[in-house]
Amino acid sequence: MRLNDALLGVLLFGVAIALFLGSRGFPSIPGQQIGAGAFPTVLSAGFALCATILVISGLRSRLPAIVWMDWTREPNGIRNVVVIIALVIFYIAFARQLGFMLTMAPIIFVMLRLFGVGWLASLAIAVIAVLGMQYIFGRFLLVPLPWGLLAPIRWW
Amino acid sequence: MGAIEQAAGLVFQWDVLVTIFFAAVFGMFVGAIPGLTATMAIALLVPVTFFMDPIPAVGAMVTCAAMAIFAGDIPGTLLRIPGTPASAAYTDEAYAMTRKGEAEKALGANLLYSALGGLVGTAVLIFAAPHLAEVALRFSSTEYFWMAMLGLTCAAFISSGSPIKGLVSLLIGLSVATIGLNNPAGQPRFTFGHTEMMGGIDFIAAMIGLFAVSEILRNAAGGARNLPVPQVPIGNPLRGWGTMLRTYWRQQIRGNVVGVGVGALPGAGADLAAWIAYAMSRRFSKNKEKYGKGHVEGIVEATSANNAAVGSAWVPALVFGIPGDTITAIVIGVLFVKGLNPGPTLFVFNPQNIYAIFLIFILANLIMIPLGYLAIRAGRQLLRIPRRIIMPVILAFCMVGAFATNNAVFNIGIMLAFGILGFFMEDNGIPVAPCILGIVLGGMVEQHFITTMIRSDGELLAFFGRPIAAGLGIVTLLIWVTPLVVWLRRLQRGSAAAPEPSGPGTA
Repeated sequence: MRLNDALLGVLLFGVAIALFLGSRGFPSIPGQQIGAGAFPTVLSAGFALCATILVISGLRSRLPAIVWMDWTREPNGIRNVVVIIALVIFYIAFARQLGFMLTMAPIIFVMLRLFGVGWLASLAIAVIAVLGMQYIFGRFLLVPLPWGLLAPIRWW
Repeated sequence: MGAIEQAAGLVFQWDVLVTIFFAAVFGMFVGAIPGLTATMAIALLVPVTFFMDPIPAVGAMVTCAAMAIFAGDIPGTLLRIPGTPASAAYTDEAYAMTRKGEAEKALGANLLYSALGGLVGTAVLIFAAPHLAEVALRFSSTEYFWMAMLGLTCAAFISSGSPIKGLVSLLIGLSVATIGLNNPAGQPRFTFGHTEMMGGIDFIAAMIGLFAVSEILRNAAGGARNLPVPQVPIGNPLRGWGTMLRTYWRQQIRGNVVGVGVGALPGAGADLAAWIAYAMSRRFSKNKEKYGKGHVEGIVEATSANNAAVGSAWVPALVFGIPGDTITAIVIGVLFVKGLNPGPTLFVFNPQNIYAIFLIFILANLIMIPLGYLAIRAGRQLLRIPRRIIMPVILAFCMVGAFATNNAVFNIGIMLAFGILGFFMEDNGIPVAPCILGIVLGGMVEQHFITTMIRSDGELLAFFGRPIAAGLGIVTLLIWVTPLVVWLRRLQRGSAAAPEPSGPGTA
């Protein structure tokens, strides 16, 4: 999804305003004229400048407002992107309760199926990958991956 | 015992050497798979390095980066798909050679001149860095402010096709860096009441999102299809090395010089070096008409440049703490985690660590030759690795990596947000690299800015009050003003409707 430069400029102008308003409330360092708000204010001015230039060049370019990139015309392109984002959100929501392995295995499985890998192969890869990662990261690299429901059968 | 002996003692240990070897193999793999960049290889390596000692951790990253930059030439040559952006400059040339049945010659040249270029870059690093560190010891916050600004400016304006979009990317990065308590006033900013945001946006998680997750989304959007494997015979890549070395030594030296110069510039890295070297080689060549039709000369020069840049990009990174490219940006993050804060004092107090890093650079470029030879021989098999199986596993690695930085699920959310942001930015022609440098350097820029302002009682002229600072400042301002002037003049002539040139470094 490629926005016209003018549209992108409007979007950035919004960012500039939000940044400016957000940084007005910061108190200054006692005894100084300068404080926590100074730097974000400079940044918001930068955003406003870029936004202005983009709006002008976008309006002059006469390109359509939104150009749909090639990937949106791929069969399943949009579906794949949306599903992957949803899968990561699924992990964030359930990893603590279900544990690393029970959340990650379905994620890998669904993704493999999405890309057209066979049922059996997907299942095998998902299980092996999850077991391997839990072992390498959990045991060897000391990352405290949650065990969740599987905690009672934890083997180390 | 001298620092160099100590350094050798730190490096020549079994665990360090084994780590370096595995990092080399890993870098080779990731670099050779089209769509996976050298930066992504480094980002994926970060969580693994958390539990390591500083020297093997840095060694793994150095080796992995050098290897991935070389391995990016393999899919570039065989499939015309550059494995990393640094190979993009000469992909067409190398692919034309493959079509002529000279794939092994192209890859052999890539390997030889990558290794030699890497060694030259290392030599420059070894000789230049300590001297620069002595200069840097006398720097005050004003000089540091301008050094950081110069780095950010180069990243935004020079290394991206559209200066305005580079600047937008940079501003996004700097804004992200303002989040949290970590500012001179100690004031919580833009945390929206979340305690997790108090410490700021975790840089590693953002990095994994911008470079790895966005690439996974990109691959998934294209259906993660397998690529057609070329049916070309690959002969002995070592053949013809002698002739090449005799014929193209001028191109090699010129490429090395360009690479070292561009790499040492804060904010510009291997991608840009390769583009400049290739263009220069074409301009000065006696055989201009052969370029683009499968002529090894340009490849020699460009590949000499990109690997030399990998080494010299570490000069500003180690001496000033200002990254020369995205790879060193990540490494700086890791150095801080390991307590090896980059800066001139590192050279004064811990010279053995610096020498150890130098030694690893040399080792990495030497190990590249045998491993690269094997990778070229196995080139077609490497390309056959099914991407649809690799991608899901890499996503899982990304999530574990983001989580591992401080064991918070919140970081996976950050990773996802930056993954989507990176994907959107790429669709809109906004380069990602300036954003990363902005996140890394934002705190430093603000701190030195505020310090200088307070010391001078709000007098802006203080930024030009010392000779080095004034010089750096004027160079930086010139780079800022130039594109604005060009843009205004183009606007006057009314030719703004012309399509924007798509330059290097947009990946």
